[in-house]
Amino acid sequence: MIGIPSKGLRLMMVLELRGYGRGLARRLKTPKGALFAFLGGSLLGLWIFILASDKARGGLDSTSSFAKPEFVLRCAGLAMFLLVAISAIMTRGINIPPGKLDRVFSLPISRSDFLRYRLWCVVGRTMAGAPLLALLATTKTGHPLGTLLAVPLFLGFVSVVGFFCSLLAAAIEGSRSFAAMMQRLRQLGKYAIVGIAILLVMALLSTKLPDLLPQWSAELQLYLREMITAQTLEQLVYAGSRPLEPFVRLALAPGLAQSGLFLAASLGTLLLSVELVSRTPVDFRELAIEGASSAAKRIRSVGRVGRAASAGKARVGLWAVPHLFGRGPMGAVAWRKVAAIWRKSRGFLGISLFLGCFLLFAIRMLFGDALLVSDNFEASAEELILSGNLGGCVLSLLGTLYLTNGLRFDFREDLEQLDILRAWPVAAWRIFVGSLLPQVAAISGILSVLLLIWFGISAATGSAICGLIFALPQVVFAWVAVDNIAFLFWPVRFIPGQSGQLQHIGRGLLLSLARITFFLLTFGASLASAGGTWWALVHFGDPSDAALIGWVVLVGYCVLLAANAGLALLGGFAFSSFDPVRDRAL
Amino acid sequence: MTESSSPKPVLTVEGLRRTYGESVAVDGLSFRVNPGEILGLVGPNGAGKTTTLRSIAGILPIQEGRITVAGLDIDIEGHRARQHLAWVPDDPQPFDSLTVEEHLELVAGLYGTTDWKRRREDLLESFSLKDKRRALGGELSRGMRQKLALASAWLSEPKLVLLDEPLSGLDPRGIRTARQAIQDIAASGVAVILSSHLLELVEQLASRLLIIDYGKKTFEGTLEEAHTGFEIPMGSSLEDVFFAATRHEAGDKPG
Repeated sequence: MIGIPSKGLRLMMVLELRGYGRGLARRLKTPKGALFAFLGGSLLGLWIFILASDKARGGLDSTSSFAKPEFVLRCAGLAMFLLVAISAIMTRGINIPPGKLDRVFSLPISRSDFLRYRLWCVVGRTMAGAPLLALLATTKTGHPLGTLLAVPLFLGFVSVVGFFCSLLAAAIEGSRSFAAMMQRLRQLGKYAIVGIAILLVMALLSTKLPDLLPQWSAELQLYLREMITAQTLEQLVYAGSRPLEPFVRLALAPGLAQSGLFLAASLGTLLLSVELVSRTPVDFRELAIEGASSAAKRIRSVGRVGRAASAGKARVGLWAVPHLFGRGPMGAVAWRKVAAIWRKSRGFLGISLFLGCFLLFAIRMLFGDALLVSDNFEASAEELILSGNLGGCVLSLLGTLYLTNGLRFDFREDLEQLDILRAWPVAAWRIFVGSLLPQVAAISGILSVLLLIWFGISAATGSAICGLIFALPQVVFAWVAVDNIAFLFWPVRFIPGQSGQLQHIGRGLLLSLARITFFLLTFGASLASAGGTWWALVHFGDPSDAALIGWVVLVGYCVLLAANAGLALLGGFAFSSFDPVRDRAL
Repeated sequence: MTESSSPKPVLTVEGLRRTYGESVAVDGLSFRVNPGEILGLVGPNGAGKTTTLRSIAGILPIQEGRITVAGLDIDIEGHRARQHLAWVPDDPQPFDSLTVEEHLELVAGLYGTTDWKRRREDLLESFSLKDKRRALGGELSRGMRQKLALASAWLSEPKLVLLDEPLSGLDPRGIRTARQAIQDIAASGVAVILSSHLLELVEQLASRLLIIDYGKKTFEGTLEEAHTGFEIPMGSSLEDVFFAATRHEAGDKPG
């Protein structure tokens, strides 16, 4: 039958599924496993409840063209499609667990049959996580049944396409001339990205800094604003999502009768894609063997350093890494981390900066001068300044959350070398601070650049942006330190793909609560002191506005510094009392 | 070399006890190591050798007992005590984003080593790491990792070196280099604890033996003293001594 593996391999899939179920049941039998599963289940239940309430309230306002269910679905589908394809091309090859590789390759099965089996494993795993996404999608669509069917089928199709891209990328990578061409393209691409980013930033800043920048930067901004409109964006999304037509139609089908036809079309698309990919004439054995060892390493490192960092291979260091934090013992600890960030994650840093610039560029294009000038009387100048300053705060907050999650060069990365670290003749708090400083500096640096651009395109005041840039390292350090202290006290690694996801969600919930409480106490102490200073100055004196603001900022900053010093000491204690033999995965 | 000939030991371990849950890994262990001495630490699998070494290195918190390195308590003056010791684990894991020469630079920075550039070159030469100086830690073979760990330990100018299976993964040339390096560093007055299952190597290098089993000391002294103590013929190998000192099958409780 088209797209279905042979009987023996189907049996293997069933047995694997049964083994997985047995593992889940065994976890639920222990009190700890049951407790964390309960917490994880409760969190998921709560989320579904919120989604259902949103649906009952009517979901999105569909009067705007951007909020139309069809447009939202197409955008989400297209974004997912592109993300999967790009990440598949970047990772390349087939991922087969190393232990399974020898067993499966020695079986008397055909190449295409094996690929079918592998494809269904990938599709099955993807579709298992689909119901939640489907529930989310039902809040935006007409008939829930159509959406509940369309989303898993769409995700299955996307995973097949990802598999194909991965296979194809690995196959053509073997060609020497192609590799050389890609190398040249990659280098050109880097220069092009940097050049485009500089042009965009100049165009963005041209409104606020007209005297500093050349005239053509303002003309470039005008030209881009004429070219990029909501209409062109919509046309692009519709054209790009044409290959996903059956799934979009199924999701939007108004009733059961209309669903039937699109369900058949979606199922057919999925089966046909599996069959076509399984017949790809590529010898994948070498790729799988190579991939198995690197994937095993990558999967291990995901648990330690976060997805973004683990995606890139460490590059041979042709450039010397500068001693940015001095040459003393703490400087040496930090220097090691600088090298790790530079060699493993500079791509992530560059992409983050580029995405940030692109986001700000999109905001500027969509809102035009409305962020800067109050000539339409819809917002007063004060309101614009307030919204600009608040926007800066939101940008800092969201940026910190995103970057700290993607750039985890902290103690998770060091678990396998913790013996070595603990044998170093350096005080524990210095190792703690030195290990986190480069990450804090990198995140603060990127966010500072984005804040400066925000200053250029919004009505945010210079003093507010300077204040944010000044406070950023402290806030980022507090967040990262709290995260690491929690990790050093309760070191648990979860590797994506391993069983026990529900327990992981439950444990993650508890840890997140602990982290947030800890962080809020730290940050709250700073804000409370600043507020107290404000109150005292206003009630017991008559200071000028500048003096008032100066004192409040100084006191708040000093308390934040003191809180961070406390966190550094606590982190040192957590590091020195960390028992390496206690570390174990879930 | 005996204890009386060296008045100030580099390392003293007194009543060390370490448990992992219900299981006792090290049980009331006491011994000393003097400058220039190579102490061979031997025992069956699970005897507590690595736990002992990791406790001395300050990696495992001390639960019971006292350890001093160069007169400094490892539990109280941790990082000052660690300044005087170098630890080479059985399976060294270098940092995968640092090159071989950068690892040595890092060690120099951490330990405040002076004249480290010249010494780095000497060590790269003597451990045959020159060709690999620009290779990242993650790209090194098991043997190369071992050599790098030894070179790093040597660079830190320690008073005490803890070696846990230092020759595993090395090729014959590497073994000869490492063996000579251990003898040379001991001759320069550095105390060495050598833990290994390669009894022939321990017999060749160690000036004194410490045999442990089930976390307890079963023998401490020279090989000659072991012959007398266990009533086995003079000239018998360390292997004979080992079996005499650990007279039980794997899994049995010591009698």
